[in-house]
This record gives sequence, structure tokens and C-alpha cells, in this order.
Amino acid sequence: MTLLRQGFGGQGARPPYLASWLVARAVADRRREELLGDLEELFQVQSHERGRREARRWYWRQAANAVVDAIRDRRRQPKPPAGDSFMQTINQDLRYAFRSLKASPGFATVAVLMLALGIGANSTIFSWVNSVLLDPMPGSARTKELVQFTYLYKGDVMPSFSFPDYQDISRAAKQVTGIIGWDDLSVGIVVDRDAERAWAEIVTANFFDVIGAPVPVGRGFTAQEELPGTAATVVLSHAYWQRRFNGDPNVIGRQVKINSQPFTIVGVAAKGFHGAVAGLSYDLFLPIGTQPAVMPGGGRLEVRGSRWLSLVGRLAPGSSREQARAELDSTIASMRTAWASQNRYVDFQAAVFPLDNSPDGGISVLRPVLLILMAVGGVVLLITCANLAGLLLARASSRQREIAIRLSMGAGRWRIVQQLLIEGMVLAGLGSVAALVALQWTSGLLIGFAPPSELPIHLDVAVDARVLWFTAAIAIGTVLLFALAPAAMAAPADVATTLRDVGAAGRVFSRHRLRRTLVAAQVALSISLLVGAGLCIRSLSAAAKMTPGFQAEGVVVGWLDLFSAGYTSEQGRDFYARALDRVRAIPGVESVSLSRRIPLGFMGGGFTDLTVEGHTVSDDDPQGVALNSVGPDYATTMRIPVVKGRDLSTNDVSKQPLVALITETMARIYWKDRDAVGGRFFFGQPRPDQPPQWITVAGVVKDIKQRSLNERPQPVVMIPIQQFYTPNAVVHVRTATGLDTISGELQRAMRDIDPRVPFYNVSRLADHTKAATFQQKLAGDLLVVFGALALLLAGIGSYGVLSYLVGMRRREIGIRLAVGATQGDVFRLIAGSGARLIGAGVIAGLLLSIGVGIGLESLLIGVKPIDPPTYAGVIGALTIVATIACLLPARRAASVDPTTTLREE
Amino acid sequence: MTRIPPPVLGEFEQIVMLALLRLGPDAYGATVSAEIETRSGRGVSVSAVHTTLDRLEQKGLVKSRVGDPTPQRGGKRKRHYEVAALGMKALQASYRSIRNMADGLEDLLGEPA
Repeated sequence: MTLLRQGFGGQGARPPYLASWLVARAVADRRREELLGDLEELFQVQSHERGRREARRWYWRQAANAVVDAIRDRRRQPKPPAGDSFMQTINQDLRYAFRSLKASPGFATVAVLMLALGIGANSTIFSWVNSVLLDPMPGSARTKELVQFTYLYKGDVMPSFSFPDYQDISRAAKQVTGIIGWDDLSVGIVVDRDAERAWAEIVTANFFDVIGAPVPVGRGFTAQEELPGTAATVVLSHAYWQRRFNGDPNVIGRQVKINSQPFTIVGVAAKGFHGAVAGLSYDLFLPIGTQPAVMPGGGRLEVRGSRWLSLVGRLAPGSSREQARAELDSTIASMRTAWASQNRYVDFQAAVFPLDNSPDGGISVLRPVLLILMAVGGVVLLITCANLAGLLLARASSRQREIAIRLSMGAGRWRIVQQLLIEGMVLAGLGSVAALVALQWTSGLLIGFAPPSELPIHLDVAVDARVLWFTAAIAIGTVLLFALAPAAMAAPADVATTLRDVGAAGRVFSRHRLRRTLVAAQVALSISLLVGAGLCIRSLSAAAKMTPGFQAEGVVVGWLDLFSAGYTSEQGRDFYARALDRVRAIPGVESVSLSRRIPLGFMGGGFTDLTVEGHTVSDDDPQGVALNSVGPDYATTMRIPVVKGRDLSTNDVSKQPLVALITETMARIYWKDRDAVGGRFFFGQPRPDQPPQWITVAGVVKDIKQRSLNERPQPVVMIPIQQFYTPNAVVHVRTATGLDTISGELQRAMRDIDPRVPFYNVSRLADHTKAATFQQKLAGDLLVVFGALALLLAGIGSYGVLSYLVGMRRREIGIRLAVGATQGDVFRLIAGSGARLIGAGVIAGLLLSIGVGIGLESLLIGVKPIDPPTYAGVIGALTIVATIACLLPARRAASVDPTTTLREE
Repeated sequence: MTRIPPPVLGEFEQIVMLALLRLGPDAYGATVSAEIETRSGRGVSVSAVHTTLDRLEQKGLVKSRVGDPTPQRGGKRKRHYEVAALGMKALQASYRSIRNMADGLEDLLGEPA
């Protein structure tokens, strides 16, 4: 004892570490330091007086006592132990959440399924947006810097330039590090005598450098290869190299034949790079100098009037799209001055688009649909959240007693909110996992929406880190949306009152109002989705009724490629004549014709300018007219009504006077009130050095749609393919025979004439022209699915709220019945409150729908955004669902037995 | 005005408070424990001493102040205790009642030397 009083000098042995650690963990902060100090001090005395061993034993005993005391102490305390860490409480909450969800498996299943659906729809759509819009050119570097150069002519976007245009623009461009020009074509390629079709991109020599796609095997193109007539070289795409050459590294230097011309393979492009067009996958890249060799119609490289190249530039660091546009505008202005004598580039205005929003190519088709889908996905998620919030509120009400007890036991309000949020997170987490599992499958669905087309469509949707992050963010956002409000409301302000009279009507008024708002919101959102779906469906049926000017049903088409078979024009004409004769002789064939291209396909047509006899040139004249080469009986085969004159016939051959079919719009523009039949015109501008090649109008036909069903009637010229030979044509056969039968017959006929000529892609014309309504079909289909789903959710939501309401008001209803209200009164009371609830949603939904209609306007064909039949239909559908949702609870309320109800409490 | 009787003390509480009185200004957890151990000859739980002192302080029977840390305590501070006025009254009451109850039983209980 004296030792203590005098201050036992110095520091001796240390007390057992583990024991003092245990004491420190167990004892409350307030007393920890003093207790440990006292123990340590006494430990020194003990070890001095009785030795180290005894002292340690003593210390352990003391520590055990302290821990037992602390535990006893903690039990006595009503508050949670102050030593709990955040992670510990999260852990507890997680366990608790799983337990309470397991206790109500029905609720948990419904909630997880709804979340999986909502989150899954969004991640799926995002995975599409991610690969189509956010990464428009896979395999290339810094796609954001790439822009497409175009010009506007009288408000229309024109994406094509001539090669001399390209050279002028490229030379003058300072705002870009480089500009490439490209065009695509289908070619015949022969490797070791095996012939097949392939898609090629014909590109300027700087293509791979500017796009930022390296050529890892072999080399890219040199400037030398831009000159016509130089050595023919080809770069393979990685995918084609793998498919056709099994990835053989010795492929460099090999000879192949492309469109009957010898080519040398010089390189293989990087893996994952498919060419300069999003959504399409090219097999070959050819230098632009080979154009005269591989493209029908002769050399275009020196022809300023031949516009066929798409231009893509890479913005220089620090340059903006607007600066590039201004520069292009001034380049065009100087070109206009330089070519003023030929009246070129008049009314041209520069337009520069980001690559992910270019008016050209697959993205322009998918972009509006994807943006609409993003919005639809968001709405579906909102509906899901509203519905879940409703479910959770109901759950929170029934758990109010539990929560009040926890609060009175000393749980913090935040602790309760945290608990409910964690339950929400568990639900959303399970939902996201389900969504991600489904995503493996749903992300690939996009390709199923791709329209039938002869183009090499390639929609490779990859689920990458960005998609996963998006899903996580959506899940967290969802939890905040659906779980926060119920959680905040679940912590009642007045614990005592809640404990006393849970269940009495009116106590939960504010919660009630929230649930009603949620249901009204669901009704409103589902109405807007349904209106969107209705508008798309109406567009489709309007489009089906809208005649494109020809009848696609009953026509089978097949593509011929005489060019790659190395035909001269003489041989080609002969082939066409024999092919038509052969096909005409097939039993069941009504009529047969040829055409350079099919109408309403994705492949745009050619344009040409022309000079019409007796027509004074004016500013109102179109920039050019659509041009097509067709075979005899074209109007008959396509069932295009001939208004005046005659259809083309087998007599319109090369030695006969040149003739043409024109459309009514063309006749109206160039001949006005004169008679067009017998009128004459020639292609291009008058030239003093050579006499014009006059073409006589043989017949005028009704207008036909060329690119889209929405377009204004276009001036179109159709010239006989025998007089204006083209080595690529599509055989059009009108027949009642089924596709499979006729396909075999046609293949045999072509093989009989010449087995070397590729005849491919035999299909129904109607399948191709469906491409014209592809957007409406896609948007319509998806909106119908989501809209029906939303309607179902809204119906369940309204039913839930009303049943809940009836449950809450049982006592009140009992009293009403007891004091003389009839069952009819009660029925009207409940049905009325349901009707008010849904009515509010309907009004909000109709207002919302007007916005939806305007958003969809660009996709609508023949339907106004505010379309009364659509609205009537949607309101009708909703009324049916709403009536069911109201009637069931109202009937239950009316059948309440007052004596039982009043005795219940 | 009714007088509020001082709280009744438990046996261990009495012992702890007596130790405080004996130790005077030097009374803190370790010395109190050691004092009880030497005086009563029985092993003492330091934790129990602490708990008791804590409880007595909450009842207002003892007062405490924080003292300096010393090296043999591993640098941890100590808390000095002294008996408060109310505690003194309670202790006097306890002692009075035990003495009154023991009066005349000295033979049986054994009078301290």
C-alpha cells in the first residue's frame, strides 16, 4: 500500500494485452480510461509483491469481472450501445431486412419482379444507346471529335460530295486534322476460285489515320493509291479475315479478284473496327483510286458533278463544330465563285453533324426510336417506383406498431429510416441482379428489330462497365424514389399516440394522401404511354392504307450482279433480255421486270439534273430528279397506274429512240399544263461542244414514294435499262406462287443462262418496303408492351389503394350502415372516391399525353399528335380497368355487416 | 416542510464510502480497491468499485474530479473521489442504524479491539 502512496517509481511489466483490450472494448467510454489506469497501477503493485505470474492471473480475473459488469450494465441501458459502428448497424439491418422479406414472400417476389422489370428495361435500352449512340463507331479513337460534312439544299440535307469537291474542301480545311471521303458498294470477290458477295467501303488514303483505327497487320493506304489506275490493293476487316482466311497471317501479298479485277491484300484492319458507318459491318476496304475498276458507270474521280462520297472529318484540338461549319461554308462560297459560269453550288449551305447524330445511315433511323425508348424506360421505372412506394406504404402502415415499439425502446428516428432504406436496397439489389441476368439475353434483342435489308447490318451490343454502372445508378435512384417517402413517413412523430390507436381510421391521413397521389401518378403515366402506343399503331394502320403508289404484295425480288461477273454492256443487255424471257415462261408468273433499285428500301436512289425542252429554268425547280433504270413492263409489274401514254416495252432497246416514264409530279413541274407525253428532255446542262441526247416521254405514271411514306411527291424519271445499261439490277416478278417455289425456279433460270452471274437475296418486296415503316413498327410494338404493363400496374395500384381504404373505413362504414345508410350509399361512397382518384390521374395523363404526342411527331404518318380516336381508345381501356379496380372494393364495402364491424374493436 | 431522508446505502456502498473517508484526498479507484482489500481481507473487483463509485456519484453521494496521469498507470488519468454532504448524512444514518441494531449484541458479534 505504501508503494501506492509514495508513487511506485518507474514502469515495470505491462498487463496482459488481450485482457486490457477486452476491457477496453467492453466498458463504456465514460469510464474506460480511469478503470484501465487503476487496473494497470494495481497490476504493477501485484507483480512487485506477488510476482509476474500471480499478477497476470489477478489481472485476468479483474478483466473478466469488468467485462461481465459491462454486459450487465449494457442490458440495463435502454439505449443502443454507444460503441456500435455504422457498419455494424448496416449489418444488423441487412440481416433484419432479409428476415422480414422472408416473412412476406409474396410481397418480396412481386417487388423484386417489378424492380427487375423496371431496372431491366432501362439497362437493356441503355445497353442499346450505349453501343449505338455513345459509341457510334466502334474500334475508332475519340469518336466525339468525328463530324460529318454535309450541305443543305433548300432545307434538305445532302450528304454526298464529288471527289473534286472533296479535294477542294480537304485542302481548305484548317479546323480539322483530316477529312476522309467514302462510299460503300457490294462486290463479288473471288478467292482461290471461290466466288462470294462482300461489302466494301471505298475510301480515301487517309481513312485509317483520320478515323483512328490502326492497321495492325500489313499496312493502310498510301497517297499514291488515290490516283486512278494505280495498283489495286485491299485491306480486309478483322472479322472478314477471320471468317474467310481463318486469321492466316500470311494473307498479306495474296491475290484476290474483286469485281473481276486482280487485287493484292496489303493489310488487315484492327479487331472490332467495322467501317465508317455505325450499325453496318464492311468486309473490305478499297482505296479510292480503284473506283473506276470496281464501280459500274465509269470513272467518277474527275467528275465534279458526280456526288457520291460521304465526308467525315476529325475536329482539330480546340476547334468546334460551328467553326468547322463556318469554314466549310466559306469553302463552298469560294467554290461557288470559281464555278459561277456553270451555275454550280448555288443555294448550298454548309451543315456539319456529330457522327452520333448524322442525318445519314443507320443511326438516323435508330436514334429517334432509341431516344423515345429511353423516355419510355424512364416512365416505366417511375410507374414501378410509384407502385412499389404504394406497396411499401401499405407495409409501413401494418408495421407501424413494430416501428413505434422500436422507437419507444430508444431506436433513433434515423435508425428506422436507415432500416427501411436498407430493405429497399435489398429489394433493388435483388431486382438489379435479376435484371443483369436477363440483360445477357435482352441486350441482343436489338438485332431482332433490325429491318430486312440488303445492307450488312451489324448491331453488336456489348454489356460493358458503363452499362453496369448505369444499372447500379438506376438501382440506387430507384431506392431513393420508392423507399424514401415511405421511410420518412414510417417514423411517426408521436410514438405514444401511435402505440395506443393504430388502425383507427383517419390516423394515417397524410400517408393516405401520398398513396392516392402515387396512384393518380401511375394512372397519368400509363395513359401517356398508352397514347404513345396508340399513336404509333394508328400510324402503322394509316401507313398500311397509304398507297406508296405501287403494290409490293405479290412481288418477289432477286438481285443480279453482272458487273462482278465481268460482263460488257453488250453481253449484259443480252443477258437481261434472255432472263426476262425465261422468267416470263415460268408457269404462274404474271409479269416480270427489272429495276436498278427497289423503292422504299434503305438504299437511297440516284439524282440527276436535266434540261427540259420548252421549260424556262426557275428558282422553284428541284435540284434534280430521282432516276431509276427499269425493265419493260415495270409499271405493269409494280401495278403503278399509267395516267397517260404507255408503259415501257420490250421494244425500247438500244437501237430505238430513247424514251422514259415520268411521274405526275415531274410532268406538273416541267410541262405544267402542256402534254408531257411526247415531250423531250436530256440529262445535264446544255453543252456547246456536243449535241444533246434527247429522250422522249413515253408515259406518265402516278406518283410513287421513293424513300419514305412521309415524303412529298417527288419528280421521278424511269429510263429503259436496255437503253441506259447498268450492270446491277433487281429482278421483279409478280406471281401468285409462293416464295420458296418461285425462288428455286428463278435460281434455276439464271443458272441456265450463266452460272457465273451472282443471283442472290431472293425475297418478298413487301418485306423490304416494310423498312419504310420500321421506326413506327419498332416504337409501336415496344410502346404497346410497356403501355399494357403500365396499365396493369396502374390497375393493381388503384385496386390496392381502394381496398386499403375500405379496410381503414370499415368502422365508419359500419356506423353509416347502422344509422340508416343503404348499401347503395356505401357503394357510391367508395366507388366515388375511386372515380375521383382515377379521374385526377386521367386529367393529368391527358395533359402529359399532349407532350408525348408532340415528342413522337416526327415518327407519325398520317396521324396528328392530338388524335381523338387514340385518346378515346386509351380512355376506354382505362375505364374498363378502373371500373374493375373500383367495383370490387366498393362491393366489399357495401357488404360490410354493421353488427360485426362495430363489435370488432 | 418534510425532510427528505437520505438514501439507504448498500453494504458495499458503505465500505467504499468508508474507504473514501480513510484515504482523504488520495482516494481514487486503485487506492480504494487496495484499501478495501487490506482492511477487509477480501478480494475486490476493481470494476465493481468503479461501478459503485459511478452509481454513488449519480445519486449525489460522492463528488469527483479528474487527476493527473502517472507513468505507472500507463499514462492514463485518474479520478479522485470525496464524500459529498448528502453522502456523509447517508453514511451517518447507516452507521447509526447498524450501531443501534447491534446494541447489546457485542458479546455475540465480537467487539473490535
